[in-house]
Amino acid sequence: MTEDELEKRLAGWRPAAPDPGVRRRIGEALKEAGRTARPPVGLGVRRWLGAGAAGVLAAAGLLWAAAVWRGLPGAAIPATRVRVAAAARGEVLSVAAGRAALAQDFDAVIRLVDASRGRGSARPVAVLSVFPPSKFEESL
Amino acid sequence: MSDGLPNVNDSAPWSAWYDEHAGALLLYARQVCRRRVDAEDALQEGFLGFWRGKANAQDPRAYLFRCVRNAALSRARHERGRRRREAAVARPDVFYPASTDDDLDGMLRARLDQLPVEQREVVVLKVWGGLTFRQIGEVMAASLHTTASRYRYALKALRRQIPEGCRP
Repeated sequence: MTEDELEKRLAGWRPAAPDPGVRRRIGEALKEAGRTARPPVGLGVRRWLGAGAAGVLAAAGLLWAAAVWRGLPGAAIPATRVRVAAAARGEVLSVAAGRAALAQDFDAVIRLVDASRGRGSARPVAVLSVFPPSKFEESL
Repeated sequence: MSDGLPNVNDSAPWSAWYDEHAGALLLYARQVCRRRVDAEDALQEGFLGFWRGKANAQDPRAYLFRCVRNAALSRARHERGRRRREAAVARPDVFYPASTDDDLDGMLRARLDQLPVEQREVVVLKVWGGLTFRQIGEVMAASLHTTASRYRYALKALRRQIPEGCRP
């Protein structure tokens, strides 16, 4: 028997097929790997919810900032605005002194702030002109 | 049996790869893991490893056999003690379930079982795996010359088993 004939004879033998369970387990493992490779549905939902929550928080933050800016009820007046109001009068006051001045003579402060228009401090005018003195003092 | 040319292309689904090579892979794993269940586990583990890393393989076919080889060797290392005990009391399972009635086939199979493992590996990869010597060298981390020599030695040893005047 030549080598070629021997090779042909060997090639005629059929290797035993693996148990069908091997194929099934490989399929399941690859399917599972495919699942984990993609973002799970639950995670996608959580991402959307997270984005929604972040959006809500951002919107709330913007509203709060707008409230502060415009001096809506309940919003604190930033100390820097008090400082601006005092500076508009040509004085340099501490925040506490500015607050005290505002509390004592609100109308005078209104006038002072009105006078500061065009000097980069128009916003506090809007704040101060919106509310009655009592409300403004409360917010301080 | 494979004629040396892959019947599945690189982009074929895993099932096509498996169906094409499962028998040869199991046979190859059994050169290292004598127990069928161990060889099947090695086949499963190796195939999964192959499929995960196939995209980076230069020669996917050789890589598939190498993955199964590595899994089989790893498993064999852990099972070595047990395998030695079992081998002492039990004859390894029949490797090839094709016709066993033929005396010549029976002799050849017995002789094949007795070949050094590296020669058996080359024969299995060449004849049933359909790999080229270059691919076999890649699988076994050996040179082309070495793999070709092992194959020749194996065939020579098998031919010695064939009685004079025996017809193929």
